[in-house]
Amino acid sequence: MQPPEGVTQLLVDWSNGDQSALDKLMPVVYDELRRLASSYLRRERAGHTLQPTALVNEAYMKLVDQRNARWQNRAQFFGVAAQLMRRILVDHARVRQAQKRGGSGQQQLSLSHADRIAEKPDIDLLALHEALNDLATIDEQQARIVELRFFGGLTIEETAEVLGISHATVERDWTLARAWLRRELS
Amino acid sequence: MLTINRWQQVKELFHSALEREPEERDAYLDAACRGDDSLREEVLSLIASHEQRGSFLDAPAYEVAASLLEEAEPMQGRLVGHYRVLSLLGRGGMGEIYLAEDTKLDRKVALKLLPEEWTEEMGRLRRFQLEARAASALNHPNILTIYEIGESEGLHFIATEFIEGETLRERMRQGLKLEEVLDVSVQVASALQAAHEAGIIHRDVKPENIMVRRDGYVKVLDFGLAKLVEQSESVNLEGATRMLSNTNPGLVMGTVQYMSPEQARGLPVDARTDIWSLGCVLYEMVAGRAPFEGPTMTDVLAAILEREPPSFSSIMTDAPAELEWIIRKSLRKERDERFQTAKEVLSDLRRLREELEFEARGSQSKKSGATIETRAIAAVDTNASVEVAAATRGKRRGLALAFAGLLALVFVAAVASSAYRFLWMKKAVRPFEKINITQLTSSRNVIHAAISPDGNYLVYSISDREQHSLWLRQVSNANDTMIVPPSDAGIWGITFSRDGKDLYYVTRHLDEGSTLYRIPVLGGAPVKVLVNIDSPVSFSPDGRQMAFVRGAFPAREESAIVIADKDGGQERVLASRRRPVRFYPIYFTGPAWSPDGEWIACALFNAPPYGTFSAFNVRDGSEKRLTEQRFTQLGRIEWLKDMSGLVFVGSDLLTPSLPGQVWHVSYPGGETRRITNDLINYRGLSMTADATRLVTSSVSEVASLWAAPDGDAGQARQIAPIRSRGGLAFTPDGRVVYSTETGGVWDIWIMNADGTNRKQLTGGAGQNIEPAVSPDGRYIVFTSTRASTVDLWRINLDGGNPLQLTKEAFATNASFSPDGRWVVYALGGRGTHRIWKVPVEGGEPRGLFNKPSYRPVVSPDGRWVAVFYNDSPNPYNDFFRKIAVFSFEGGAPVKTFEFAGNPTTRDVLQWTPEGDALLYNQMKDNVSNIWRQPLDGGQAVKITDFKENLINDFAYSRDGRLLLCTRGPVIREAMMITDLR
Repeated sequence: MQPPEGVTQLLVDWSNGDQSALDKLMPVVYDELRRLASSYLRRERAGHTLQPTALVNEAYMKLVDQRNARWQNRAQFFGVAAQLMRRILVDHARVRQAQKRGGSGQQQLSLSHADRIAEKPDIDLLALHEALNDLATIDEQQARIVELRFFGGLTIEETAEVLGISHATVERDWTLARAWLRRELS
Repeated sequence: MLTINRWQQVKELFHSALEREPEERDAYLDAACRGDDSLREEVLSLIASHEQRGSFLDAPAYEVAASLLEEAEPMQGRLVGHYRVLSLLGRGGMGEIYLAEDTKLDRKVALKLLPEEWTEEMGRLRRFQLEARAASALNHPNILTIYEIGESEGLHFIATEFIEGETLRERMRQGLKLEEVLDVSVQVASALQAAHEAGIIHRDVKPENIMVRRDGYVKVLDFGLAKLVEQSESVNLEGATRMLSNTNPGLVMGTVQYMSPEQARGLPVDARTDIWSLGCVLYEMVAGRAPFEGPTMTDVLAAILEREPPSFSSIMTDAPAELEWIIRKSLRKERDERFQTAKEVLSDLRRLREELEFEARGSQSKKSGATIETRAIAAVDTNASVEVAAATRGKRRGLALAFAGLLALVFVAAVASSAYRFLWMKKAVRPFEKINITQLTSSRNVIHAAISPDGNYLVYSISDREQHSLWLRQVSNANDTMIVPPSDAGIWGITFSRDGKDLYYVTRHLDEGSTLYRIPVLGGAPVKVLVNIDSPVSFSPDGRQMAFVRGAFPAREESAIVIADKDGGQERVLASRRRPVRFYPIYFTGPAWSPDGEWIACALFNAPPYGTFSAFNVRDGSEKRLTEQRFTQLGRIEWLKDMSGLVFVGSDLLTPSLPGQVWHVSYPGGETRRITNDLINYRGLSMTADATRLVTSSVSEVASLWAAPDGDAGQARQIAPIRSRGGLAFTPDGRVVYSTETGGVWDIWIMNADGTNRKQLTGGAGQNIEPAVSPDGRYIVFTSTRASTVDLWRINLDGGNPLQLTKEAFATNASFSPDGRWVVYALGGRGTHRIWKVPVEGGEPRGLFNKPSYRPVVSPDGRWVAVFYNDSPNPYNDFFRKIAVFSFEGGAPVKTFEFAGNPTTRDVLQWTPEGDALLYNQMKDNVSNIWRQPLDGGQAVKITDFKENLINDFAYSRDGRLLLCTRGPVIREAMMITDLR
């Protein structure tokens, strides 16, 4: 169960200031998360409690060699993962929306929940995504906090750790960001 | 669009307004916005939005997605094929199961709808169908009958007989009696046997796949279904991870716990895989927990691959040893070592059931007889069941304890117990599985022994009146010859050269260094070979080189395996380790050179005192672990001739107070198995060249409890056949709390001071030793392994209300402060102890003393702590030659006292009630007595006058008038263990 080589080194390089490392890192993590996420979304049944951090954790455990990673790397990884999860879910929603527009209208009885997820919330998800982009132009940190909390599933504490800011700041920003987004979406 | 500055204003006003009461906000914002209406509106609208946000964004994105699944269209009423769905029975990882009505045959069926992703691949689907149909076609009463596997409108379904009952998972929640455990497992094994014989493997045996009908009938579900979820046949080593990430986490978590090592590794499965899973289910039925657990899937997998499940004795069950044997045999990591067929499991389970039924009929006095509760026995108020358990155990083990010095008897019992088990189960016999133990000497004082490569000679050292001598015996005629006369130097580390002609031994003086000598076996003068050696030597296969351990080398904080040629020249360090990791330099451990010449195995210790065995490559010194299991005591290790394994002496984590036993570890593989199972402490180890016989030195204590009024040894009388371990403690009302052993398990007991009215306070929860009683008599604090760690626990005097005081501390030697507020204790193993204190009501421990020391005791005025103390500048000197007294608040010793005589036999330290002196037990001339060391620095005086035997434990009553002690002979002999394969 050796993690693939490279991801750990990329994380380390990135934390040393090498921005190109992030570009190389993204596709690997993206692939893994997309695979994980789709299986979670498709297989998880109502009634189970989902633990999104567990998902990112699994990806982290899988991709990063714990022995050579620094402790900051985990926070970094969660940060990247949240960003990527957002992309994955939004992509997913876009595809669904496109399918619906071109829709054949056929109603298949299917156990794959991928079909059912998308009906109403896609719109929300896409709208949220766009509102979040708007928020980022006026307050990047708040947008990042929403990304980590909502798409990454991180707690206040974890978010504070990833961003290197205090819990209190995360709480305050989160409160305002939510109010702002709610208003934009209503 | 807001500007950044504007946003800063909004932010501040938003938060300030929120901090105010709702009715004050308008006024506040009016003032704060100073007429800037748009700013005011912006903030107000955000506050309004905040107030009505509901649970907006509270749940992470994934959960939002999941909650939508609830809105999915209901299946009820839908027609799937000719089945009409009635209601949802359950959801599992492998699909939803509905109660449905067969519209053609007018009967109820269970309809399982398979998730699409598993039915996409036609080939796989077909293989599954074949297997499921084949299993159903067996018409076995314990295999669920499949009516139809079909497809309707792209939806794959399985229609099966509908069982009214519950899954074993649900059934287990109420707890199972032993007879029920056997009943269920016999039926499951029977189903598996039938399937296996037809070439069908289940692949996913777990409590969720076993239904128990109301009439007790058991049905195994979902034969072959796991095949659908499997990855392609060529799953590689990363298969497990991939499998984890590819499937539902809940499902995988459930499945992973029952997954076999080969499944975890992604290897092909066979019938023995099902046997593993059955073993897991059996374990869980008995223990109430899965054998392999962990907070994450990765941890569970690691446990499956590397660890042994907790022993029954540690998980509070007294299911019969035979059942544990069956489970352990099913849970062998190597498939070849498991039961090979379900038929074998079945017949062993049936035999056990019959035996217990027979026993139950025998004991008519008890209702439903030997229906031994397999559930946890609460520590409190279960004396009755504990007695039942003890009785059962006693019956099985025969005479577990004799106290009249009849070592032979103890011995027979132990061997008989193993023999009983081996007769009961006829199995493929592994190395040293069937053994015969012979006592070779009868001197009572054998320290160390070794056998010649041809098995003809035994050489042993004897300790008598603090002097050591070395003896040679021809095994065939028991003829002893002294080869080194008695002297003050200790003689240890005896090794024969490979050709058997020479004998190497190490001598050690308390103050001088250690020296390796060589002497011809058949007579001659000893020749000094080298100095500074801290273990026996082990020779290379060609006999030209030898390996040994050297402490404080190459640097002071290091220890090393050193290789030299057989005459002591050409030393080189093969591997060195820096503290806390170390090659522990004691003479009962030491290196072992492998028969192929490539590896040197050796015990490697780590702090806290857990150790394990590693092998070091002779060429480059690289290390590989021989097993992942940890031990609290480690002794010598030796290779089997064919290198299929090694034999060693060790005491495992869960039984730290148990003596060192002889173990086998497979190589490679690292699975450990105990060879001996008795109360004897084994120490060294040497083996004949053909690896059929091994010689070890044994130590057995055969103590009993004595009472001496006025501390007068002359009036002492034996009051109970009790061995106690590190703590006889008086209660304020004059009763005595102690720890004693039954059937290999140490527990805390209480009795009257005359030995009557003995009552057990702990039971069924690990090893429990070294009790201390609080000054007000409310609490007992003791060392327990009940949480699979060695920690201090507190109970009430009646045994109730257990509370863990330390966490993973390896805490021992508990002692109360006189105000009853603190417990002082030692941390780490002997030799590295440091003294700490922890509040009796629970809380943060505080370190008091960081020098090597143990057995802390607080003075009656609460100001001082006394300990046995080692102030040697040499970190590898393990002799505790002093008593130190330091402040209860910590710090350097304010007083130290030196002992005369042998420093290795002191165990107990006590203050006098007046606090003017310290009392301890001390051996001189093979007899131990209690000595009194005045605090003013005068000479220590012997205050008892026992003429024989050793004192293991003692306590004076609170008024100082009655002395209680456990004492008896300590018998040390050379033992030969013969492999009867």
